[in-house]
Amino acid sequence: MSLAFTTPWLLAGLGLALLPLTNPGIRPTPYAWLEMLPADPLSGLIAAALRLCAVLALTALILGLAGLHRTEQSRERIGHGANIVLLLDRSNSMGNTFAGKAPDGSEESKATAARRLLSDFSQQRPHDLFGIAAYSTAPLFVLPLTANKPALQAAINATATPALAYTHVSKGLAMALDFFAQPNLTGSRIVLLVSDGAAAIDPDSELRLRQYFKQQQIRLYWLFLRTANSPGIFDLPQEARDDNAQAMPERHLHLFFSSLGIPYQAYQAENPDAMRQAIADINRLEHAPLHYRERIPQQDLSGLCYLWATGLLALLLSAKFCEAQR
Amino acid sequence: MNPRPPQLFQYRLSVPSHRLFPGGHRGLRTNNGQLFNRHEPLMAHPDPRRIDLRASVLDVSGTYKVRAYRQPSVFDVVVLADMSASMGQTGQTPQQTIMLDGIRSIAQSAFSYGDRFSFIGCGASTEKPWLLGNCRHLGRLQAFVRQWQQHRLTATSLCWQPALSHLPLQRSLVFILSDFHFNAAQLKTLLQALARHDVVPLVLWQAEDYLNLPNWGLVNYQDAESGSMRTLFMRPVLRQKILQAFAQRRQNLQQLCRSYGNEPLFLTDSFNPMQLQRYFLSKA
Repeated sequence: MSLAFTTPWLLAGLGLALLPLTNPGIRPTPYAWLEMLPADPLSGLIAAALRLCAVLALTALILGLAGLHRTEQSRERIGHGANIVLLLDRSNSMGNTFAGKAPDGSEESKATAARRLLSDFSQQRPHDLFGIAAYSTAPLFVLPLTANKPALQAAINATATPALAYTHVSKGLAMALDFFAQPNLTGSRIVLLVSDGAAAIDPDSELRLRQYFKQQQIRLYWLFLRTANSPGIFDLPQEARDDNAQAMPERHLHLFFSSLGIPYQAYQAENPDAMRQAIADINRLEHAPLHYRERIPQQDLSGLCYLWATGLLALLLSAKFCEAQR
Repeated sequence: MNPRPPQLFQYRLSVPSHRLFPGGHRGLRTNNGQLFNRHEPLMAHPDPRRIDLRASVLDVSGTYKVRAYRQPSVFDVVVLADMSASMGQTGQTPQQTIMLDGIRSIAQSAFSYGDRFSFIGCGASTEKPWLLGNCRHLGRLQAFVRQWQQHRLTATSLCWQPALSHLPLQRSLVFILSDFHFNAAQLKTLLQALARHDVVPLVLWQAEDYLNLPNWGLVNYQDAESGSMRTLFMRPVLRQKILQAFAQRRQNLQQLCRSYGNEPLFLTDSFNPMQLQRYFLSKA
């Protein structure tokens, strides 16, 4: 534990904390000859305790003024799990149900189902590091890789805000891969792409993504939430001229992922149950030892100091009220 | 401060005075007086008015016998006062007022006998003692008292030694006005030095110091002389202990003074001449 001060020069005031040693703080009553008073251990104890309280109260006040805080720490942790980046589709269509309609209460939207299942998923895996990125027309950075579950939960809940416009998957993927750019990352690296549609990837991005996927040794899971009557991942084109990225982006994205030469698994979920099945699969598969450093943020201790000072001053005040009136 | 009229008391001496000057006390000298002493030959005491014919007839040697009487003599009264800061306590009645009452009462009682009154006040060893020597006049006493009233007792230590050289050489009646808050060795030295005198230790204590203590609460007592402080958590048990300590102190003082042939008189919060009257009546 390392402590630091915001305004260290105020610590010069600590000398004042010695003042109670010279003055007991109780109004002196003149007495003819102190030697007449018999020795009383209890009184001595109380007097010493009062002085100590006063010294501590002053010390706490000055430490509080100087801004005592604990500096940012990191803790080494080892667990079984993975570094998982959730890449969430925030396009408009995620707000619809699996039937492709606006949710009317009886059925939940794809986004809600994804949110619910992902938060369950994150709670089942206590040792994983999770990061969240979202994408729509542009990628959205939500949460860096962290073991902080409340933050993760908050980030997942934050995706409940209304969805945005279109689907720009290549930029989202680039951002998700960026999460793994930090050098000292151990354990398996997973990108879990949750989307209900796909888009064509332009050749420049395609080249870059290939390179990134290779470099970062990433395992990719694609959870495709298929809307009823929309093209699936595994659908074959009826005509050869339809077999292009513009007409069937889902199929071509799947083909692109398959051609990357990385561990890749696609799940096509047509209802929330199928989605749960897919997540359970991932849960089962990814259990590699993970070595990471947990960051503990800077902690302000001045409030604690003031609390102590208040308590001690209240004690001294009560002692003041106990003073005998002559 | 409007001085209350002093009350007088009568004092008696344990041994007769052998002072030359006539006064109000039983004396050893043979001279004019009312108390018959012995018969003396006319040649030794040539006062034909005092010839006792019956004693002369009865005398086998046939000389004239003259009646000789004891002369009542004067006596010196000295007040030896402790003027350390502990006597400057301002309780219910300030200690200095009580002392002043005592000085006036003793002085005027001495005047009523025609005796000489002296005052010696002792403070710290470096201070010059306060002196009023061989006073017989009320005016001088009052001037002294006025001066004394303005004085504040601040001496942080007490030393009797400088005062002792100012004591009369002949046997005198010495009142020690003090709270006797000093150690036994100092008291022994003082009593030894006063061995030739008739000593009356007057112990002035303040009720605030032991009788009127609070039952409960925190008190911070500051020593009047050393200035050191002590915080006490007062409770009935401790109060009882303090009372016991004072009772013990009273006993110790009595023992110590009696071993030098003096009976101390304890006065709390006031100077009452009746107490002195009773003291002298019971003593002689």
